[in-house]
Formats: sequence, C-alpha cells, structure tokens
Amino acid sequence: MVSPVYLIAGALGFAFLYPVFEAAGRRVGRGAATAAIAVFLAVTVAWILGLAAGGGPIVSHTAGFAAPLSIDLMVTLTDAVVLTVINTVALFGFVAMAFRRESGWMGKQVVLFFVLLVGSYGLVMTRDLFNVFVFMEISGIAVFGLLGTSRDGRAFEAGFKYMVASALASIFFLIGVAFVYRSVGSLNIADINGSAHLFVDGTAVLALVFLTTAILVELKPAPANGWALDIYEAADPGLSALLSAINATAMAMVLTRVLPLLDPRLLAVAGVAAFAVPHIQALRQESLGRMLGYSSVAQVGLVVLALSVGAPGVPFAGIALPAAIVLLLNHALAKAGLFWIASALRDDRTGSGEAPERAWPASLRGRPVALIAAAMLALALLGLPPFPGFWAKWNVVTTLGASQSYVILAFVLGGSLLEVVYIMRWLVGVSRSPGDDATTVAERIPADFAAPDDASGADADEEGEIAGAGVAVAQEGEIVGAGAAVATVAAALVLLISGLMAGWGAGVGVPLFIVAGALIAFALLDAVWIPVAVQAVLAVGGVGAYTYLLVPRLAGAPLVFALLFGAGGAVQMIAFLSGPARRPGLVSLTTAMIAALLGLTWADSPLALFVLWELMTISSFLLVLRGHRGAAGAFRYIVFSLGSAFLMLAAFAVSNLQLFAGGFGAAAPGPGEAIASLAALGRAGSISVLLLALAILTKLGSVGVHLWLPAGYAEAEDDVSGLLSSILSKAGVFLLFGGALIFAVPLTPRIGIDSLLGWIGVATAIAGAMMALFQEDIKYSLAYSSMSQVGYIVLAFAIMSHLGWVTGLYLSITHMLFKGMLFLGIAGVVSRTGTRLMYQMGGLIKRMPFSFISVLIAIIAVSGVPPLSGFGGKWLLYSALLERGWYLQAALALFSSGVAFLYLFRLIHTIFLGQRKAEHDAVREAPLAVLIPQYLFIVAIMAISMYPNVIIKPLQTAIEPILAGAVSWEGYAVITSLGYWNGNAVMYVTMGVFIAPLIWLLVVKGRVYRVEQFNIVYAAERPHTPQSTHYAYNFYGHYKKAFGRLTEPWIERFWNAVVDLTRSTSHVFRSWNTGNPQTYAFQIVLYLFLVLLFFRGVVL
Amino acid sequence: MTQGLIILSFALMAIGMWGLMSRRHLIRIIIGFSLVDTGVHLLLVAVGYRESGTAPIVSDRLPLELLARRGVDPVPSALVLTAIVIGLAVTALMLSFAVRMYQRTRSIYIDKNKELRW
Amino acid sequence: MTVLTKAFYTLVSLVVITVYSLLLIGTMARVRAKAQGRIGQPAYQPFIDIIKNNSLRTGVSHGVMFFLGPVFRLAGGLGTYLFIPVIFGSAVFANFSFAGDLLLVMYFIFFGQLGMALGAGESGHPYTAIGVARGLAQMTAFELPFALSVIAVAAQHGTLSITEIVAAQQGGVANWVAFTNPLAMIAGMIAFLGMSGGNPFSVVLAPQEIPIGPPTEMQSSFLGMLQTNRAIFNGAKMVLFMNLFWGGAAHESLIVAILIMVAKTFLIYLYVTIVGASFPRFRTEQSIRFFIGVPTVIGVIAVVLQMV
Repeated sequence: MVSPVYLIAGALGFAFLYPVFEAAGRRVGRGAATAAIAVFLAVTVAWILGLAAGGGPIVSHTAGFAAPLSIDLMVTLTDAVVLTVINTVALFGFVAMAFRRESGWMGKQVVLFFVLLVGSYGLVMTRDLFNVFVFMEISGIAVFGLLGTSRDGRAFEAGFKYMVASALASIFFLIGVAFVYRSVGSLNIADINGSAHLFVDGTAVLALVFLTTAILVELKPAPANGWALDIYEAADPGLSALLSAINATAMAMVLTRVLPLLDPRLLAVAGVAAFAVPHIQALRQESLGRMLGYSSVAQVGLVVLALSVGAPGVPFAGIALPAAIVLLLNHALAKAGLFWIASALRDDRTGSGEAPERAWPASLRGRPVALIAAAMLALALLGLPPFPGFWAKWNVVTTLGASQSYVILAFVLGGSLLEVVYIMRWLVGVSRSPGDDATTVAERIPADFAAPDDASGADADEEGEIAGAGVAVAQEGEIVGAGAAVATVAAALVLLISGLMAGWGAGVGVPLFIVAGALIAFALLDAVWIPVAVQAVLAVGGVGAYTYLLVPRLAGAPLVFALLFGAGGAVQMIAFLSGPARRPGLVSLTTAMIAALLGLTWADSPLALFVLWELMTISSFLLVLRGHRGAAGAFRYIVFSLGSAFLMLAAFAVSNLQLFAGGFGAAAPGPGEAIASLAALGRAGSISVLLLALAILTKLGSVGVHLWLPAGYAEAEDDVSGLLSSILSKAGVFLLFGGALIFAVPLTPRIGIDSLLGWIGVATAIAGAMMALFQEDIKYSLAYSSMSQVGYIVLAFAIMSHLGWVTGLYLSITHMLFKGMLFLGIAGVVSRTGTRLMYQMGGLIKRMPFSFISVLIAIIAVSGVPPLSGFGGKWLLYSALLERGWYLQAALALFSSGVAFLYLFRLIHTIFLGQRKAEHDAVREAPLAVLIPQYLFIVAIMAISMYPNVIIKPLQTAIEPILAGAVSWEGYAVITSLGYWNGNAVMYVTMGVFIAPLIWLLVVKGRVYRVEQFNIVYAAERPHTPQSTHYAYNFYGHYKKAFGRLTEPWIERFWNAVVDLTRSTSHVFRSWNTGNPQTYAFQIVLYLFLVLLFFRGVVL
Repeated sequence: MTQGLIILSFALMAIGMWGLMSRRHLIRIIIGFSLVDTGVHLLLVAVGYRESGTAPIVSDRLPLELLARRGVDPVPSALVLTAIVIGLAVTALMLSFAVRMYQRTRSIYIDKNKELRW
Repeated sequence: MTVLTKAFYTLVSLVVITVYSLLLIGTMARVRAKAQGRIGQPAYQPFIDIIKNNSLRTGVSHGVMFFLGPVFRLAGGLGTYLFIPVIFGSAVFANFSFAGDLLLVMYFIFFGQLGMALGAGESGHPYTAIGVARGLAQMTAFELPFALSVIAVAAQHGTLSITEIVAAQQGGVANWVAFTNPLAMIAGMIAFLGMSGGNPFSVVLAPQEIPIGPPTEMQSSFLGMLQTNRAIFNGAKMVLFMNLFWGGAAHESLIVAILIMVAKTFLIYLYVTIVGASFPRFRTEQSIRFFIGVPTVIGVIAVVLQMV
C-alpha cells in the first residue's frame, strides 16, 4: 500500500505544481486538480480495502528512525475512513467551487485549498504532538488565506477574529507541548498515552489542561466559539463547507488521539455544552451561513460527547469511536451539501424573522433535484433515518440511556429538537409553494372589505390573502451552477446509500428498503413524466400486494392495523386518479408513508419500530408541505412529530430497549413478559412508559400538544388530508395497542398512567369537538373532528379492559372509514366549488347528490346515531367506561358526542342544504375516482352496521390473548355485564319504522309540487340573494357566547409564550458572542480556567 | 535559571495577553500577540535548557553516552524554530488583515470592526 | 313468538301511545290556556289537526331530502318508542327493547332530530337552520345533566337495561329511583325540561312562532306526520323518564298497568307544563349556562356518590 507520507507529499507537491497546470489553461488546471484529488481519494479507498482485509496499521517513519526519534505517520482503518470522507468532501467541494459559474476558484485559491488538504491529512495521520501543532497551523494559514480571497469584505474582520482565537489555541497547545515534553520526555503520542500514570499532578496536569483546551478550542466549542460563527457567516458558503466538513473532522481526530488521557466526564460536559448552546443560539439566526455554522459547531460538540460515551471509565466502551466517526462522516457530507446549496441559493435568509419575510423566495420549489437534495441533506443533518447519522445517534442515545446518563440524554434530545426547529424552518421556507407566505396555521376568513389603511391597497381576493403581499416568488434563472449541483447531489446520494447500507447492517433491511424503494421508484416515474393516474394504479397494486403478503404473518392488533393501513390507504389512493396528471412526489410520498405504516406492524425490534416511525413522520411531513398553503402547518407538524419521536427515543433509551423489546411481529412479547421486564427496571420502567405515552399523545394530537394538527391535516392537499386523518392518525393508536399492557404500569401507587391517559382522552375529545364547532373552514373543522375522535380512542384504550380495547380498535376502524369518506367527499366538493369556507357553499345537494349521500352516511356514522356503525362504537365505549367505573368520563364523552352532533350538522347543512349560490348553479358531481373510495367505504359501514359480529368478534379474538373478556353473544346481540345491543335487530326495526311512514307518505303525497329555490314562506318578503338567506356564518355564535372565555385559545397562547421565551433565551445566549475578538479571547481564557477547575476536581 | 526563564516567559505572556485583551488598536493587539508568542518560545527553550549544560553536538568533548546527561535537549530548540516561523506567518497575516479591515471601515479600532456578531 | 304476533303487539302499543299522547297534548294545551286565563282549544284538537293536514290535496316539496325529513322524524319517534319497554312484564308493551339498552334509546333520539333538521334544511329557509342551531346547542347542554343522571341510575343498579332498572324499582314506592337516588332524579328531571322544549327553554321553537320556520314550510301530510311524531316522541320520552325514575308501570292487570302509566306520564307532563307556565324564556346561551351549572353539579354529585 501507498505510504502515508506520499499523500502529504502529493498534496503539497500538487500545490506547487498547480500554477504550471493553470498556465496551460484554466480548464487544464482544474481538471488536473480534480484528478489529483480523485487520486488521493483512490489511495485512501485502497487503504480502507487493504486495512479491512486485515493487517496492522500502515506506518511510515521519517528518516528511517523508529519512534520516538522519528516523526510517525500512521493510518489505521478508522483514519482511512476519515481520510476517505475528507477526500470525498474535498472532491465534491472542489468541484463545487472550481466549476461554478461565477468567481470559480483559481490560482492561489486552489493552491491554498491543497495546502488545507495537507494540513488535514497531517492532522489525521501524524502521531507526533508537535506535528499536530504544525499541521494545525498549516490548515489555519490556508483557511486564513482563503478567507482573504473572499468577496465579502466582512471576511477580513471574521478572519482576524479567527486568527486571534486560533493564535490563542496554538499558544495553549505549545505550552501544553512544552510541559508534556518536560514530563514525559517524548512527543510521540503513543508514548504520551503510555505514560498516563504521570499525569496526576503538577506541571503534567497543567500540560494536559493546556493541551485539552487547545484541542477543544480548535473544535470551536460553545460557549467559546463566537469567532467561528463570524467566519461561517462571512465566508463564501463553499469555503464554510470545507471548513465545517474537512477542518472539523480532522481536528476531531486529533481529539481521539489523546482520548486515553482525558476524563470522559470532561468530554461529556464540554460536549453537552458545545452541542446544546449553539442550538439555542441558532434559533434566532437570520443569516443562513451563521445558522449552519451554529449547527456545525453543535454537531462537532455531539461528536465530542459521543467520544465521552464510550471512553474508559464508562461502561459500554467500544461504541464511541465508530459512532463518532459515523457522526463526523454524516455531518461532513450533510453540512457541506447544505453550504453548497446555500451558495447556490444566494439567499442568506433563514425565515426566523419576527414577521414572515414576505418577499423571501421559495427558491427551491420547482427545482426538484435541488429540493430533493436539500431535503435529504437536512434530514441527514438532523440525524433522521435512513441517513448514517441516525444509526450513530441511536447508538449514542441508547448507550446514554443504558449508562443512566439521563441529564446528558435530555440535553442531546432537546438540542436535537432545537436543531429541527431552525433547520426545518429554513427547509420549509425554501421549499414551500409559491404563493404561500408560510403563516397559515388556522383558517383564513377573508375580510368583507379591504382595510382602508392597507398599504398595498389591493382588494382582498377570494382566499382572503392580500394580493401581491405574502406571495413567494420563485427565483428566475438558473440558481445552481453545475459544480455545486453535482457536488450536492453526490453528497446526498453518498449519505443515502451509506445510510441504507447501515440500515441493512442494523437488521432493519426489508421494511426500510420497501419504503425507500417506493419513494425512489415513484419519484423516478415522476421524473419520466408518468401521469399520476398510472402511478396511482401501480401504488394501489403495490400497497395491496404488500398488505396481502403481510397479513398471513400477523395476528392480533398488528393484523387489524395492517388491514387498516393497507386497505384504507389503497382505497383512498384511488382518488388520485382524478386529479391533474402531474403532481410530483404525491404518489411517491403517499406510498412511502403507507409502506412505513405497514412496516410498523411487523417491526421486530425497537430500532425497526423507531426507524419506520420516523420514515412515516418524514414522508407525511413532506406530503403536508406539498399543500398549497401547507408550509406553516408542515413546520408545526414536523416539530411536534419529531419532538414526539425524540420522547419515544428517550423512552427506549431509559428503558434500556425493553419497551416493545420484541416488536409487534410474531415474536412479540406477551403482556406478562412486557410488564415483568418493565417492573424489573423499577422507576426507569415507569418513567419510560410515561415518556412513551407523552410521545404517542403528541403524535395523536392530544389536547395541549395538538397545535400541529389542524393546519397539518387541513392544509395538506384535499385528497391527502383524508389519508393523513384516517390512516396516519392511527399510527400512534397502533403503538398504544401494540404495546401490550405496558401502559397499565402505575406511575405512583396512587396514580396510574392509564387513568391519566383516560382523562387526556376525554379532554381531547371535548376540546377537539369544541374547536371543530367554531371553524368556518370545512377542512379545519374535520381536522379538529379527527382530534376529537382520536381522543375517544385514547379514552377507550385507557380503560384497559377487554371491552375497552375492542372499543378502541372498533373506533379506529370506523373512524378510518368515515373520516376517509368525509375528507374525500369534501375534497370532491372543494374541487368543484373552489372554496373551503362552508358559508360560501350551500344547497349543493341538488348538484352533488352522490357526495351528499356519502357525507350523510358518514356523519350519521360519526355522530353515533343508530343504526349505523358509529353507534356500535358509542355503545361499546360507554359500556366499557361504566364497567370500569369511569362515570364522569362517560358523561363527558357523551357531552362531547353531543357537540360532535353540532358540528356535523353544520357541516352537512351549510354545504349541501340551505340556499345555493348563483356561482354554484353549474357545478357538477364530484369526479368518479373520488366517489369510488367513498362508496367502497359505505359498503363497509353498512356491513359493519348490519352485522356487527363480523367485525367485533375478530377484534375480540385479537384482544383475547392480552385481555380476556366477559362479552358474550346471543345471535347478533352483544351482551356485556351491563347491557346489550343487537345491531341486526336495530337495523331491521329502523328500516321498518322508516319504510312504513315513507310508504304512507308516498301514498298520500305521491305527487307534490316541486318548487324552485327561494320559494319559501319568508315573512311576506321575497329573499333576494342566497348570501343573505343562507344561515351559515358563525353558525354557533350563541354557543361561543355561552362558553365565553373557555373557548379562547389558551393552549395556543401558552405555546406562543413558550416560543417567545425560547426566542428571548436564544437572544440572551447569542448576545454572548459580541463580535469583539477580545471578548472571544476572554472566553477562551475562561474556557481554559473551566478546564483547569475540572482537572482540579471541580465537576460542573 | 530554568525557573527564572519559565517565570520570565509567563510574565511575557501575561503582558502580551493583557495587551491582546485590553487594547483597542488593532496593531497593538497584534503586538500583544507577538509578545505572547515570544513568551511561549521562551518557555519552550526553558524546558529544554539544562543548567551548566553544553551544546548538544556529539563530538570528542561530548561523547554520545554523556549527551543525555550533559547536553542541552536539542528537541525544544528545533521546535522553537518551527514555532517562530509559524508565528511570523501568522503575524504577517494578521497585519495584512488589519490593513484590509482598516481599508474597509476606515477605523483601526477593534470595536469599530465588529459588524459580525450574535 | 311469530313475527305476525310481534307486529300486532307493536301496532297495539303504537296505537295506545299515539292516542294517549295526542290527548295529553290537547289536555296540556288546555291547562296552559287556563293558566293564562284563556279558554283554550278542545282536548281533541290535535286529532283534528292531523286529520285535516293529512287530507290536504296539495303538497309542496323542496326536494328529496325535504320529502324524507318528516319520514326520518317519525321514524325517529317510532324507533325511540319501540326500543323502550312501556309496561313492565307485558309482552304486548315490551316493544323491541330486546334490541338494545338505555344507550340505544339515548342515541336513537338523535335519529329523528337529524333527519328532520336535514329535511327542513333543504327547504332553504334560514330560520330552520337558526332553530336547529339553537336546538342542538341547547341539547348538548341538557344532555350533560341527563347523562350524569342516567349514569348514576345505571351505576346504582349495575345495568343499562331499562327493563332491569324498572325491575329493580318494584316492590313499593320507596324503591323508586326518585327516592333511592334523589339527586339523579333531580338532575334528570331538570334535563327533561330542556328536552321537552317548554318554557324557559323554548327559544328553540321561537322561529316557529313568528309564522315562519320549519312547520310552516312543512305543510299538509308532512306537517301531519310531524304532529303525529310529536305525540309519539313525547310519549316515548315520558315513558323513559317514568321507567328511569318513577318506578315504571307494572301491575298484574294490563289495564291497571296502563292506567298507572297514564297517571305517571300525565304528572310528568303536568310538571313540564307548570314550569313552562311559570317562567319566561331563556336565550340560548342562558339556557346552556343554566344546564351546565346547577343541574350538572347535582348530576356530578349523584355520580360521585355512586363511585364512593
């Protein structure tokens, strides 16, 4: 294999040779440079292959001496991997910079770039402490030089600060070197590590303090890193990419060299601070470069933290280095990619301003490749599956949990959530629909008149938006030069492929690949302009086949949910046949979401479960983002969802992966086992269950954490909302029911988690129904209705009895059916009328009778009026509640179902009944493709209503192994300890009492005068316009009046206060970075003292 | 003697740090840095210094066996040379940046050159 | 029991309740008139109204749903009645109570209301919508004390079966829920005021009074059907409350049992009429606040007493 020294020599040599190449032409120059980096890359890849095949590390001694006299260069497998990453980024980065359209790199910039590479190679390979200093300075000077060529004048200021800081670090390092040499008598790192026993007191410890501080400061740790952020803000994003990816990676490797000398607790504390603080500071960043910079320094902090996790003295050694390396790799590629996108965007805004930056362009919409790459890189950066960072983060987090480092765990997950907030805010901003000002989180009612003092002076348009303002304009022209595009896409692909391979290695292969396959396959179909209808047919077939193959392998609750996800999803996708032929990403994301949901049902480990959960979250988030005004809703959705996911991750970690240990497949643990393993964990068991419950409640949109729900469901596209509300909302329900009886674990002897869940369920049911009542926008009303219905399901689950669980599953199925119908029915109406505001509709029954029938049946079913299936749910629910003795909850549930009746009536009345508007005189019935799924669901509802045993009995069988039941059957009658219900008889009686009067009426009034619209008895006056005759707006004003302040948005206010608090906290934290290099110098000295204090035994 | 050198070096560094952290004038800050740098060089030399030792040149007067006992340690001296070179480069760069900053903002004072912050 | 027998029994049961309820409505109208110092209509006036309305030859329809509205309404009334056992221990008056328990009855009440609201809604008359909006809003409010009292009764007797609740009250006045569980009775009876739509909770019907609104848009046989339903539905509700709180109607002799039923329901209706004659009318939000106030608290206490 090639000796390491040739790598350094090669890079340095090329740096000197480059001007010669360039003299032959710029093309020759950059071609040669690219080729050179490619050769370096090939060398390092060859090293990986060689080292992986076996054999010791590659060593090169200078001048034929052996250590300690020689200066060693050594490459282990880890080093080879890191060097490969560096070279990969270097290759992409160079391509991005040299081949860009404007001010591409040339001349000294290329030379300096190669010098930077020399420094980085040296940092990774050298095993000599003083040489670390030398290479540090080489990289540093190269970076200063590159900064000096920057176009942005502020780069000099930033560079100066960087030099001051870096000079201090070098000085500390040299002092450390001096003292180490004095104590150990060698500068060879292996020798120094071998003399760990010497570092106990006096100058030796002082040496270590200086060394550690110097290395940490070079890693730009918060809270002593203000200068680094100035660089990220001022430097060309392409340079920032290299800085963040190459420099930081190499320096992190230096830290790993002295790991044996360091107390892992120091790294843990430093890592936590370096990870959490920048995330807080980044929240208010208005400069994209600076925001990404904060993210970079935080990610490096995470690497430091990860190194502490497996360091000596802490159990579970051995995971640290690989996890840290994977984190480095992931971060290097993702961050570099994002910086390249930033450089291509030429738009430094992040979307964090107080008011929405209205003219901020949705620069990535309409540029599918850039958009997909940006999304992939952002997801990778956030450590979401399937990207490599996820697997490392999972490793780190679960190890933290296993070693009971709960505080660190909380900081890691909390910090990650903050990162989600600011990265996603940016992503949502740049990829939102043109025309969306990213503020829509609630219904919009147009004003009757434009406000006179409105600066724009424009009339309110139909949607209530002020024309001209709030419209994001996609930038014209090409934004991505060829170089950056190639580099970005390549980085994203490398991340994707390596992440998928890691997933395969982690044993989550098949379900993960199915999701990824669906995503990629349909995206490719989009790319070749296959119409949505064709895709939809394929997708329905695919989902159907997956479900069909899955069903025989499942039993119990997973089987029920697999059918729900699979069949429900496939049927609703039929509606896609009707829309426009080109809707990029729609089928791809929908299919991926359903595939992830189906994957959940046979996940056989907590890891698999979590991966699929995240995939489901991501795909549905992107679906919401596709919506016409979905940006703000999608943002809330992803923040709450990932918050929920991180809670779940915490629950898994705290319980030491005992929650759902065997997953839900055939190997699922019995309820006894699950409870026993939790009980063995003691308090951690209870806490983990509580965390999981919180996670699930958030995902279910329970009251208090429901803010994501209304806009999330309502602002998705019309035919997608139904899928989200009917299918996706059941994912959390599935976890509840899949989890055996773990939620029956008491929190304290007096308080059970189940009774908490029960009350939350009731509160959600009421709150959802109340909010649904006061919406004018039909989709918001239905969204809140979903929230309310899921509240019932949670309540039913919390009963923890056979009957309760049967109720919960029954409600899940029926809710899927009728909410799917309602949303699709509404989608049909909205597509024909062009409005979502109920009071703008009316009298559509004569134009859209089939939609009316479907909606009618759905609302009868939702409201629980016999004889349709909804009543079965209510009957089961109240029976179960009364059996459990939850009387108050039962009464409140009944109240809530009354409120449901109100909003449902309003829905059907204001849309289909009353007076039709003139502009709707010519609307046609909804498209056939939208009606077909609805009528399929009607058939199902009718069957369930007529023969409840067909569905209830299998549900009982599914529940039986976990909770034995005391429900008996007499023919079609269900009999509980309290009451009975014969759905079949009720149906016949109802038909009887309905048909008898009908016949009578037909006989006596077979012929009637059919009158036209407006022919009503109206106090001797003739009504003129439908608008003034259709009672629809503010339908339940009196109700609002009756409940007064109770109907005010308290929860919204609470979260707004939380946001305000976070923003001001963020400002307090970032004010620490004053912009004055002297402050930064002071911070670095302070950092030194803190490290010193730590070594003196003061642990923070 | 060694003790004295070490104290001297730290004194230099302290003066330099004070200058670096308290002066508003960019050039004075850079001078502060140079002082710290020199202090470090002195420290390195002091570490390798041997009381009443001799130059580490192997010859008749200093055979190889005695080198470890009587010769001044040559490694720190070698290190100092490298460090001085690097320090020079950094100082030069700092000065050039200071010039560019002055050209941009027309102010040589550090607190007039902090557009980037937070 | 053959289907034919059952059909015959059902018919008997329906005829009895219809005739009785119509008479009761007429009587109460007269009572109310007396209280207001008028002479009032004859007690058989409701029969005349129904016959008249059904014999009108012209009918006006606004559409299919409008046509079906009264059908839904009557079906709701009939169904509600038919799921309640009227006379304890009588095969003729057991109706179809085997098909479901108290919960079924509580929810079937909505069936007719929904259908009627939809039917009237198709007419396009704004006041129907206003009336429905008010009525539904008020309904959710009185449902709360009603539900609490029903739950208290069900918890007290450990069953949701109306027949069993009645059975548990046999053997003397002291066994009636009204006396064994007075709080539940009070909450339930206050809720009943709202359910009956008399004063002070009659704002729901206000749109009908100014001579417009659903019953006016509904004419001829449609109106006749609504009037028939009103009788049956009222009867059903009173029978339900009689069963829940007042010991039901039971006697070896069917005639005596029917007379007991007549006496008890008469008194229940009289109570509604007296209250109605004595109080002015609440606005919708006032009645909502009323129901979620004191009656609900009473109901909660009744339920909590069952829990401890």
